[in-house]
This record gives sequence, structure tokens and C-alpha cells, in this order.
Amino acid sequence: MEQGFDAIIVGAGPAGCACGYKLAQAGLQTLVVERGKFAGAKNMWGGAFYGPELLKLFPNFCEEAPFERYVTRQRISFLSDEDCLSLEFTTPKFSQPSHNGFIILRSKFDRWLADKVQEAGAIVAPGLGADDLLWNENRVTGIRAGGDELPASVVVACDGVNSVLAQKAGLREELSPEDIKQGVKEIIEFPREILEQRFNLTGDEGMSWAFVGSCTEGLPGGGFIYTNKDSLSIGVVAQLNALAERKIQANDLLEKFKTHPEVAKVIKGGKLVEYSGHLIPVSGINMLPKLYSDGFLVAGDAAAMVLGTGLILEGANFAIASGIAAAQTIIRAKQENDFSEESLSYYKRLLEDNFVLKDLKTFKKAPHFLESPHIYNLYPDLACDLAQRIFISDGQPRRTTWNLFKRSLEDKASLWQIVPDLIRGKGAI
Amino acid sequence: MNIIVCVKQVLDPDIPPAKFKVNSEAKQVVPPEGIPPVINPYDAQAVELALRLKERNGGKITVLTAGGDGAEKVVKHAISMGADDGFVLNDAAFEGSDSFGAAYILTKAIQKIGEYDLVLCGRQAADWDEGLVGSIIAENLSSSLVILAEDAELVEEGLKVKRVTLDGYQVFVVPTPAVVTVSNEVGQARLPSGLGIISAARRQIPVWKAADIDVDPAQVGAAAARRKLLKLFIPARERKCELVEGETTAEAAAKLAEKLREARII
Amino acid sequence: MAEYNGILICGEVVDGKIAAITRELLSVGRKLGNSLGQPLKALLIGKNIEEEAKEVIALGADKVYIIDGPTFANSHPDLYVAMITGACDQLLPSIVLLGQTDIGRDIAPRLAARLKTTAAMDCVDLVIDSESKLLLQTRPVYGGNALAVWASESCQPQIITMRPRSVAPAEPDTSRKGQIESFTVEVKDSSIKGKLVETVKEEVAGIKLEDAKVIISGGGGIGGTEGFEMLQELAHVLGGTVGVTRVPCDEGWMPMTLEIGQTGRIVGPDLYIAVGISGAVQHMAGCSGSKHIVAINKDPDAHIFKEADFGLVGDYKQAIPALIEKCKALLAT
Ligand SMILES: Cc1cc2nc3c(=O)[nH]c(=O)nc-3n(C[C@H](O)[C@H](O)[C@H](O)COP(=O)(O)OP(=O)(O)OC[C@H]3O[C@@H](n4cnc5c(N)ncnc54)[C@H](O)[C@@H]3O)c2cc1C
Ligand SMILES: Cc1cc2nc3c(=O)[nH]c(=O)nc-3n(C[C@H](O)[C@H](O)[C@H](O)COP(=O)(O)OP(=O)(O)OC[C@H]3O[C@@H](n4cnc5c(N)ncnc54)[C@H](O)[C@@H]3O)c2cc1C
Ligand SMILES: Nc1ncnc2c1ncn2[C@@H]1O[C@H](COP(=O)(O)O)[C@@H](O)[C@H]1O
Repeated sequence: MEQGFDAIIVGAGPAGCACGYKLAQAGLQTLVVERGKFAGAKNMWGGAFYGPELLKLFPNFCEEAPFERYVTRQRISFLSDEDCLSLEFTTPKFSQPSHNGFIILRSKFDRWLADKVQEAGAIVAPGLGADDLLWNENRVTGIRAGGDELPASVVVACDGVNSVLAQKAGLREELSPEDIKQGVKEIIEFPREILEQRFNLTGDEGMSWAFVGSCTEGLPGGGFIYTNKDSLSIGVVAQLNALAERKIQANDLLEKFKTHPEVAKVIKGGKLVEYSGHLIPVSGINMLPKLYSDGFLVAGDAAAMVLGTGLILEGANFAIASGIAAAQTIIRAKQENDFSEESLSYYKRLLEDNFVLKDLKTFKKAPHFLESPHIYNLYPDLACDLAQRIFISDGQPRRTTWNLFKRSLEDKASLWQIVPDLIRGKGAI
Repeated sequence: MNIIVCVKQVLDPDIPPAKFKVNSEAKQVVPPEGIPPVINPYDAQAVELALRLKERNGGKITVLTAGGDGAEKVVKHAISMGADDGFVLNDAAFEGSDSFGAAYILTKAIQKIGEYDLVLCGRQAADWDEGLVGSIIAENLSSSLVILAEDAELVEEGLKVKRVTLDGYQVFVVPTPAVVTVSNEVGQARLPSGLGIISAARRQIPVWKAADIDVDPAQVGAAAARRKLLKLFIPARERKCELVEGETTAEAAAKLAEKLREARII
Repeated sequence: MAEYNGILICGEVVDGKIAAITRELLSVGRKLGNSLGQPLKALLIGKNIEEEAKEVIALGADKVYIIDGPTFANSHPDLYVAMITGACDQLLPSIVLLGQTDIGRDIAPRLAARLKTTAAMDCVDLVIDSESKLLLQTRPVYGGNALAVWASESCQPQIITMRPRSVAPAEPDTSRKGQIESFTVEVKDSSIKGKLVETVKEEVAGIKLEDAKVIISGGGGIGGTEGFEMLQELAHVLGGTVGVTRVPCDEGWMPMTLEIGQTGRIVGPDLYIAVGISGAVQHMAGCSGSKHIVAINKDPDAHIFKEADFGLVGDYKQAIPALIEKCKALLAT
């Protein structure tokens, strides 16, 4: 590679692919390296993709993309050892474009994304891991991969939660256990009819089901079930340091979770076909690293851009949004032929203007409030309205739950009824 | 020395048994979603052997694959490992060819390339596990053949090949041009280099149709196949496993010994 | 078109003994011959092997053809291919049976090409379809993940190789009668390309895996040569021998000749103890015929437990010494 690439993106997850796609479309010489045997090979998540980013990026996403189902029902369950208090939310809005969420399996989805990036004109190189950064004084000038030096004007670290590259670039430290949750997940296969009957789904309808309580034995975190085409994704997510302190293995939590009556009956008779685990950076804005330096940008999980409240776990949409912002920054830098820290600082500004950093700030103190069963069993009707406002993610900056809550009350309940909760609520947010 | 390597795209043989599915009606394997096909591992090892020979003797490595859409991926894999050139042989007429059809197609392509000292194949394709095509190509070219090679080197009289046997090995010296099928004893195939992957990604892999290699359509495709697949199914291999437990592993092991004794197995 | 008739077995004589695979071929051949009403013939290549020929008759052949020639181990396969092709041209068998062995692998594909017919490699079952009278050929495919059944309507003779141990060997019946005929095939020098320089047999100490009643197999989980000494000791105590998966071969811990599986040896002991083995299909292909399978693996989800009769979840480093000790004690009583 005599003259090198305009940009080398490390990691073909949502962040890297979104960035690579935009850059390739703008005609920049772009290389996306992915250490996995293929894009998505080792990637896992819950998971559902919320918000309109995908549709913005790929207008006919619904026609082409290999997603499993739409999220048409969202259920939240609070578990004690045997009992289960559930709140389910459905609305016709969910089944009409733009859809509220897509349930997705990464191994298929990431590959589709990577192919899109390739079609757009970038080189996507699976089986190629970035081992190190190339430097010219304090400037990143490329990567070392597969025994070769690959120069580039800018390197974008989209290498996920552990981001070795962001560490090598000196933008962040090794993650500490209190900043991460561990997720483990199984994929359990069923004949499609049985699945649809159990969850009462038809066509492309799908359910996203979040659990809190006994599924993590009270540890910070939660459980989840997503309905795929003809399988279930079931898993638990728990704070790493808490697991360590209590000497509990995440997969033991999952095994126990699967025995909860409410859960056992929906997974009965299925065939376990896959087990996987992954880490999640969940301290949100508190652990957000410096996002740029000379010739270097960080996006997605690598930059800890994940929203991990008890009941919401979103990262892919932030990953994509940040990947796009990184691309816009690089396109601008290319025009001015200036890849200095100064020029790349534009990236931070973009993120501040769109929902990414706003949301992360919003949820700076994760609203445990959301997890108070009290709210839900006292005011189902109110909760439903609240849920709607929480769950519909329109890509606009989120209002705090507090504000949503207030607005819910205004038209749903009279103040005196809920004063006690208001007090708790206000404290929590 | 000029080497032609035949490489085939196959279902990833490393997929866990739970993910392997067949459609018995269609008599087809259902590729597991999300897991892309790969270069037949023995063929990657054939490319590896070719590269070692090239490193010692110079020359050019050309890879050939007969396959449908996406087949160029395995050619690109070989190129990213260090092969010089490659072609995809794809034509509607080729679909459903059996081993003899495939060997005929490959033979024609080899003859079109013309200049070669050695044709390398894998010992068998990890999908249908036939182990036929290499030998048939040798017959078609009426050239010398050594199967199950674990090593080869160029010598005056031709090619010296070490052939794996069940209890050891045999050494042959055969005249070139020769056909050699490669066994896994050759050792791990090298990983593609960074620049290799990039240059492969930039390459356009030419596609040869029947006419380009003057293949007689009557001799290929399902119609020309010499035998029919009547049935495809997953055999029931599972056994009922009794797990032996104990306070400690050692204790469990002792229990295991007792059980085996009771059952008169030892 | 010529009349193809008879089942022809290409026999193997190893160190002056009828190979086990040849006995297996004879029992299959007999079955096929009976259902087709065709004679069972056998071809033996070697020097002064009349005794073996008689034995082949006892094992079920109606006729044995002896070709005077070198044993396979010391001859170029081209010679065998030429001889057997010539024999088929003269004898016009409807089915030719070989073993999926060093020699069978080499000959069958080229025989098929020269006779313009088809070959089915590594079959595990052969039957004649009662209506169509077609030969139904069952072969493992996709590394053993699936079985496929093929048939050929047009091609004769049908060239088949059988996987060792897929059928019980024929039992001798000395009262059987049959003809023995010596037979010659012209082989042009030009049909032998190049030369066989040497044949090396890597003798492994102890019992041959194929003959072992007990096999202790070690895999990637063993982690190095030391661990295998432990397995050797257990094998010694149980009067068995040690086998391996591909990983220890690739890692250079153990010789390739001990590899069990699709591309290695096919074994069928009474007891197969799989230690630190995940149970990949390609490995199980070589040992699923074992009477009893015991799995020792630290991963409770390892696939091997699905194909084992007894399982122990734990580290072999703790399990094996305890097993050795207990077995010693039990066997002493
Ligand atoms: C259990 C679980 C459930 C989740 N559920 C959801 C959900 O429901 N909704 C949601 O929006 N988010 C969810 N998330 C979060 C979401 O998965 C991540 O936020 C998202 O994948 C981040 O995308 P990314 O591209 O930044 O990083 P990743 O998706 O992690 O991609 C990083 C890529 O970089 C590659 N890579 C790493 N190092 C190198 C290297 N040195 N060289 C080359 N390549 C490298 C990796 O192989 C990987 O492909 C979940 C996460 C987990 C663990
Ligand atoms: C085309 C093809 C053909 C092949 N042919 C063959 C063949 O003929 N024969 C063959 O064997 N393989 C063959 N293979 C390889 C095969 O697919 C598997 O990769 C191989 O069999 C795995 O060997 P393994 O189970 O020993 O190692 P691994 O898959 O690495 O498994 C190691 C196991 O040991 C366990 N373990 C680790 N440490 C310990 C411990 N301390 N105590 C107890 N258990 C432990 C682990 O849980 C794991 O289950 C072939 C592959 C291909 C692609
Ligand atoms: N379609 C194909 N394209 C290229 N090479 C092939 C093809 N089929 C078989 N081969 C080669 O022949 C070898 C043996 O294949 P098989 O006889 O199908 O087991 C493979 O390892 C390849 O090297």
C-alpha cells in the first residue's frame, strides 16, 4: 500500500460498518479490518435495535436486511423466586414504519452490514486483526495487521468494549469491573409455529422481554428474552464486580433464570444451539473516554457509548450514530486535508448535537426509579403511558424519565395520589 | 515451477453438530444461517504446499474453482495467502455435476492454462468426502499421480513426493507434469497477510464459462451425472449418557471404575 | 453391450495374512451375490499365495484369481491400477469391491475413470434394492454429520470401497468348494509413471489400535506429552492402547499414525475412553463403532457426552490417576 488509505476502521460491528459505509459512499479510500473469521463471527447481543438510525442509513432496510422480527410487544417482568409481575406494552405504532425496533441476530446481521460496506466501495477484510498502531511522533499513522504495516490518514477504533486500540492510543485505561456488565446468552431453537403460539405472534411480530429481580439474584443487571424467527435469545446481564464479589458465574445465573417457572414454560422443549458471552460498558457518560487525538477516533462500545439502565440496554444505535458522526468528521477533515486533533474535535461537537451524548448525559444517574415495581402495580394505566414514552425511541434526544413521568401524570393522575412516588422518583433522578 | 491448485468452497466443517441440518425432501444440506462457507481445509493446505514449493523453486501459482455465486471468495482466500492468479469456473450447465463432471471441467480449465508442472488438489472435499476429483483429473490428463501427500520437493527426475500411509509413509519420484492430492499432514495452512487480504480484495476474479474452456455441455451437469442421490439424512448416533458424580473428581473417577466393573466392561 | 456378471473383490494380503477388510468385503460380497444371483469372485495379487487363496474360498468366494505380482507395499500403485483394470476388462464384473485403505483409495477412482464408470468411496452399507435390483450405496458425508444413499442406473461395473469395520467379517467354512485360477494381465511399462523409492512402516509399540479391546484416547485437552504418559499407564492397566484426535498430532505431541477418525484409523474396541476430547464428528467417525464409550471432559456441555455411555465431568489430571488406582485395585481382586 504505497500511499495508504484515507481511513482504516478497526472492527466491523455496527459502529465500524456505519462509519465505513458513509466514508465509502463519500468516495474515500476506506479499509475495514475485522479480526473475526467473518463479520459477526464472535459478536453477540440481546438484542433488538431501537430507533431510526438503521432506516436512515438503509432506506429499504425492512426489505433487504436479515432481521428476525419487529418488536411489536415489549414486556417487563419483575421476578421473585417464583413470582413474576409483568407489564406488557403493545401499540399499533410498533407495527408500522418506522418500526420501533428490529430483533436481530448478530452473526447474520453484521455480515449483511459488512457486505453493504463492501458494495459501497470499501475494502472489508475479515480474518485480519489490528495488532498495533503505527505512530509518527504523537500522530497515529495507521495500523499493524497480519504482519504488515497499513498506513492511513486516520484510524477509527470501533473495536468494541475492550478497545485495545483506544488504550494503545492513550485515550483510556483498561476497563474496571464496576464499569462493565457481563452478558451471557443462549439461543434456543423451536419450530416457528410453537414459538409464535407461545408468544402469540403472527408474521413478523416479535417480543422483547426484559426481566429484573431474581434473575440476577438482585445484582445490578437483568434478564432478557427476544423472539427470533424460529428461536429464542435468552440471557442475563450482571455487573461484573458484583458477580466477582458474590463469587457467582454469569452462566450460573442464566441456568437459574431458565428454571424460573415463568421462563421455564416458554423455553420448554427447545433445542440449545448456541452459547455466548460478552462484556458491556455501562457506566455511560461517567466512563466516556477522550474521543479523538491526532489521526485517531473512537466510536461505539470502544467509547463506552452504551445506555445500560436496569431495563433498557441500548448500544447498537449509539454505535451507528457515533460511527456516522466519525465518518462526517473524517469527510470534513479530508476536504481540509487536516486530520489533526483540532480538526477531529468536530466529532465531539456532532455527538453533542445528536442524541448520543444527550441520552448518555440524561441517564447519567441510571434511573433505578424505573425499576420500582410500586409504580407499575399502583398505576398500570400511568405506567403504560410512561412505558410508551420510554420505549418509543424516535432518535430525538430523550427526556428524562422524570419529565416523561411528569407529563404522564399531567394527563393521567391527580397529584396527591402519587406524592410518595414523586418524592422517591425525584430522589432517584 | 508453475502450479495449479484446485480449491473448492464448502460448508464450514467446524460447525457444531447441533447446527448441521438437512432437508431430506430436497436431499440437500441446509447451510446454517450466519455461518459462511469456507475454502475446503485440505485445499488451503494444498495452497500452502504450493507456496512452499514456490518459495524454494520460484514460479507461479494459479488457483481454480468450479462453483456458483460467491465461489470467487475461495480464490481470493488463496490469493490472500500468496497465490498469484485465479479463475472461477461457473456456468449454468455445470450445476449438478458429479465428481467426474467437476474433474472434466477442471481438466479443461487446466488445459486452457496450459503451462504447468504440477496440479494440486485436496485429498477430499470436506462436504461430500469423495476423494475422487484429483485422481480423475490425473487420468484425464494421463499424467502421473500421487495421492495423500504430506510433502513434495522438486528433484532432477521430477517431483519427489512423500505419501501418507496408515502405518507410515511412502516416497515416490514421479515425472512432471504431475497431479498430487494433499493430506492434512502437510500441516497448518498459513494465515493470509494484511497486504495479501487487501490485494485479494482489490482483485477481479475472471469467470470462465463452458465455452471459454470448450467444455461439452453434454458431459457436465446433473444430466451427465453417473449416479443419483436417493437419500440424505442425519443418522441417530446419540447414546444415553450416565454421568458419574462425586464429591471430588477423584471420587467420581473411582465410582466410574466401579461402574465399569459392575457392567463387566473391565 | 457386454454382459457384466459377478461380484469381484480385490483382496489384500498383508504379511502373508488375509487382511481383515478383505474378510469384511467377502461377507458383503456374498450377501450381494446371493441377492443378485451372481457368483462371488476374488482377485489376489502376490507371490505364492495359494494357501491364502484357499482361505478366501473358505471365506465365501466361488472363484479366486491369482495374479503373480509384488505386494502393494513394495510396488507402484500404477501397476495395481493397470492390473486390476485389465482384470476387469476380461472378467466384466458387475460390482468391484475394494477396501477404503491405502491401496483402495489409490485404485478405485482411477479404475472408475478408466472403465468409464462410477466409484463410491468409503461406503458403510451396500444392499440390492429388491425391485429395481439397483445397488444402494450408503456413505457418510459432511465428515459424518450425515449419511447419503446413492445408486447408479447406467454404470457398470460399479466400483465401491468399503470403510473398514462397517460390517462383520466373513467366517471361514473349510467345507466350501471353489476354483482357484492363476491369471495374467499384460502391463505396459509406459503405464507406470515414476517409481516408488521407499516404503516406511512406523512401528508403534504395543497393540495395534484396530485390534485393541480397550483404547484410551486423548485429545486437545491433554495439553502436552506429559499428560499422555498418564493415559499410557491407564491403557497399560486395562490391557489397552492409546489413540489420539487430530489435535495432538497437529501439536506434535503424538505421532500422526495414532490419529483416530474419518481421516485416521477406524477402531471398534469394547471400551473407548475419550479424555479431553470434544467429540467432533470427524473424530467420532473413527470410534462411534465402539461397544462402550466413556467420556472424561471438564466441559459439561462438550458434545462427546451426547455420544458416550458413561461420562465424567472434570479435569483429567485428577480423574485419571484415581481411575488408574481404582482399576488396579478392582482388577487385582
Ligand atoms: C448481552 C448483550 C445484550 C445486548 N443487547 C443489546 C440490545 O438489545 N440493543 C442494543 O442496541 N445493544 C445491545 N447490546 C450492546 C451492543 O451489542 C453494543 O453496544 C454494540 O454491538 C456496539 O457495537 P460496536 O460496533 O461498537 O462494537 P462491537 O459490536 O463489539 O464490534 C466490535 C468489532 O470489532 C472487532 N474487533 C475487536 N478488536 C479488533 C481488532 N484488534 N482488530 C480487528 N477487529 C477487532 C470485533 O471482532 C467486533 O466485530 C448488548 C450487548 C450485550 C453484550
Ligand atoms: C475435514 C476435517 C477432517 C478431520 N478429520 C479428523 C479426524 O480424522 N480425526 C480427528 O480426531 N479430528 C479430525 N478433524 C478435527 C476435528 O474436527 C476436531 O477439530 C478435533 O477432533 C478436535 O479434537 P479434540 O476434541 O481433541 O480437541 P478440542 O476440540 O480442542 O477439544 C478439547 C476438549 O478437551 C476438554 N478439556 C480441556 N482441558 C481439559 C482437562 N484438563 N480435562 C478434561 N477435559 C479437558 C475441552 O473441554 C474440550 O472439549 C478433522 C477436521 C476437519 C475440518
Ligand atoms: N468444484 C471444485 N472446484 C475446484 N476444485 C475441486 C472441486 N471439487 C473438487 N475439487 C478438488 O478435488 C479435491 C477432492 O474433491 P472430491 O473428490 O470432491 O472429494 C478437492 O479437495 C479439490 O482440490
